[in-house]
Amino acid sequence: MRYISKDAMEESTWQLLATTESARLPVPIELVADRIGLRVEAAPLGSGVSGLLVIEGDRGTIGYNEEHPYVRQRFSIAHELAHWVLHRNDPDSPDLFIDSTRYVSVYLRDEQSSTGEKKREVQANMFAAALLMPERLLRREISGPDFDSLDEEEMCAELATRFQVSHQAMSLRLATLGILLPAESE
Amino acid sequence: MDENLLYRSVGARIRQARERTVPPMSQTKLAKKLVISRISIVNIEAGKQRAPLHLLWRIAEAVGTDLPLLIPRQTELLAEVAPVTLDALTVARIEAVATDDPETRRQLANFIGKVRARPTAEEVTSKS
Repeated sequence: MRYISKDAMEESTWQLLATTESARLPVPIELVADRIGLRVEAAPLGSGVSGLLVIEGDRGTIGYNEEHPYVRQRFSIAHELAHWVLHRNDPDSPDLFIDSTRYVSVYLRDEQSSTGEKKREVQANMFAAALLMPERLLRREISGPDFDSLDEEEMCAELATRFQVSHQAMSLRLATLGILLPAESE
Repeated sequence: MDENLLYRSVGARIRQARERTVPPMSQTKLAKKLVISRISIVNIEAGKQRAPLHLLWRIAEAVGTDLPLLIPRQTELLAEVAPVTLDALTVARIEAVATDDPETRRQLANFIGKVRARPTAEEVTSKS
């Protein structure tokens, strides 16, 4: 498991968008996956599973839950894409990532193997957020005239629509980047 | 090659892309955009009508995607009827996520089995 700094994460996601000619809104995540050679398919996966990545040598296939809301599906695809980019060459990484909505219970079961796995999940989430909500595009949008009259809540909602992510994902991203303060509840 | 399967697969992808537009585009609206009948859209999405290349191209444009994303790869079509066998490690990983839900277990096994059963690009080339 390699440590990746926040700045390196921002930079590598931006590079990925640039090389796949996808630095636009909303980020065409399926196109990014296609252009780096990944297959992406909607599938029935059971309600507790958001997505998975099946790795076979240099072939990778992403499956995402066909019944989840679109913005969630986009995040799932980005998350699995992150595993492919960041983790497929790790010697201790599996060739199969299944991402459930119940991470915690899975981790608690096996303390030993959970550490690396948990770090990989955190990295994949960071990468996915940076890929779908690139800092440069966020700051560009916010600096536009439309945002002058909006309060923080409205701003977050408007950005979530423009970037096609969930309100929660956008709110977290804005807090991570220090653009907005974290929400008080939750 | 099963041509019906190919057109059904393309149709399903068109439907998915159409429903993904923001806000979701109706079949009627897509038909109007393309100046064709709604019945044509219904049939194309069901794989019952075979849209020519230029129409597929315009459909892709109208629903905001790229044409290649509406077309399945050869390996995806060939794998539709392959049997499912999984190794012990995979079964264990599925079990860790599916816990007590047999439906999730079955669906994950299906997906992973289907993906792994697909021939590689080289195998496809040598077959044809």
